[in-house]
Amino acid sequence: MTAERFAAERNAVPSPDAETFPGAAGAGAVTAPPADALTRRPFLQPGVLRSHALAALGVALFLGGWELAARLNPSLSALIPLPSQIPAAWLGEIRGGYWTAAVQNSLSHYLAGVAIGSALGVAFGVVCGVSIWFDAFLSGVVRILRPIPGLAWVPFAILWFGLTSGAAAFIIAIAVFWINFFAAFGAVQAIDRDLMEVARAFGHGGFFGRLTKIALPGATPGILAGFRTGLGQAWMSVVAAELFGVPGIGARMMQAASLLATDLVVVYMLTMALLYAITDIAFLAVRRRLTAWQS
Amino acid sequence: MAVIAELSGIGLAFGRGAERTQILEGLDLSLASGEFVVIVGPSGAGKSTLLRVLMELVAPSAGRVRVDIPHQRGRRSMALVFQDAKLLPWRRVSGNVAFGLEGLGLSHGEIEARVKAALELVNLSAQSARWPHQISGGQRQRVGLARALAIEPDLLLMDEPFGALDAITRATLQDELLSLWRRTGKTVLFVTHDIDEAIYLADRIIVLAGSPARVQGTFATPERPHLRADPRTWRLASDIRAKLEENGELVDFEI
Repeated sequence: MTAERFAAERNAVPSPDAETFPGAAGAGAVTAPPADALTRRPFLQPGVLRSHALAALGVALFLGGWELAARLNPSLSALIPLPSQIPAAWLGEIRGGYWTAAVQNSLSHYLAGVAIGSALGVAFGVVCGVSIWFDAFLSGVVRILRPIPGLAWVPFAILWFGLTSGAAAFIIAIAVFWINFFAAFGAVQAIDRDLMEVARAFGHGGFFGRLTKIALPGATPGILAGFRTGLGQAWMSVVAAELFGVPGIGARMMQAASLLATDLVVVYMLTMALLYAITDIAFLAVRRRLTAWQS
Repeated sequence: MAVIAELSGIGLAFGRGAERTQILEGLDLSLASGEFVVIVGPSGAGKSTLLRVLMELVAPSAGRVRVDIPHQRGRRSMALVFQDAKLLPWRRVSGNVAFGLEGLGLSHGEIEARVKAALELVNLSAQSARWPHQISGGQRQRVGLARALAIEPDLLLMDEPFGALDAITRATLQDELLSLWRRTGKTVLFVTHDIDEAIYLADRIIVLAGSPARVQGTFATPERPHLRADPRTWRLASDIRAKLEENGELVDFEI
């Protein structure tokens, strides 16, 4: 049917496209780029292997420069440790059981704070994004609470929880909450409004339908971006939350600093970098699964 | 044929006070079961809004909507095919087709069977596991049609569904739609700004124009197929164009 229609109708009348875009139909009007132009890397852009090698070289030069500077200026030794001292200090902390205890404590604060702060942040952010009523209802409270930094809650954390893991988790949760709240809220707001109409047209126009069928799946990439930022931010809050005496990496760093054991401070700084790397790698694996539709 | 939907004296306005804009006014329309009706009119004439009034997505400011279509779990058996398909990017093709079936109390097996049947109707069975961004614009529009057909609607509303497609894909989909309509006997209300498309598809054409929009005329088409080369089709196109021009619409239509 279509072929007949085209033979009968379209061929009889010259195509307006042919007149408007004479070059489009002409042979050789568009010249294909040479095959290697599509695979050739731009000048100065490193390959994957080479970029790993460059990163390792950068780290080696950084540590080498640091070691050299510290050795050439003995007066610096009280202020900054030698990189070559770090492995021995790290090993000593592990053998003494301090490192494992500090990491276990901090991880328990971190995981509880991240879980509670993220869950509540995402929940409130998504619900505010879906319901203009709820958004309007909470907007005043958000304006009041948002500017208050997490550390300002320390007095209340101590009053309510004492010097316990609960207090540290509370401080972390507050920091993580706002990041997740605004990320989730923004992600829901950014969803194509027409998809909400699609939901209504197909019987999912109620609050629960819009929430589960459109808002949550549609906002997943934005929610995950916020969650990832929260994962990093939470490590900063771990140190802050433990500075006031709750046992963990932050408390151990403060003890070491007060004894001028700068090598131990660096050990725990590197420990946090390592823990962050592990959580980020785990996160990326989960994100790949949840947002396969974007690739 | 039984009337399954009727609009009488429909008026619709948005905004208040000086900002108030009247979109539709005094609009009457009735649809008989099994009919293929096309509403043609210029862009921005309120054609899409009219479909949304019928779908109960927009409440009219005046007039009465009577839809004689049974409810199934609180939903009327009507489906809308959107311009640009409007697929959910986070669902595979099969998930998009299943969208309207969820919450109807169907078993997993029933949903799967109906998705499979709908995808077969639009010749997309091989693409069921793909993501929307992995298929062409024409295929996406077919998925939109399958999503609507899957709920086995008594009334199929189509909002310029082929407007953004290239000419060849559009012609193919027009033929497929007619073939589907003949096989399934659904009532179709199709909206377009393309007079050629309206004549090719319709049993009856309603011209909607003016500001606010009103029904300017109703035209019955000759027996099918409605080829452009047919002098009756040519005259009909000319009459529709004249009707639109009476209302000050600049009609860009080649005969």
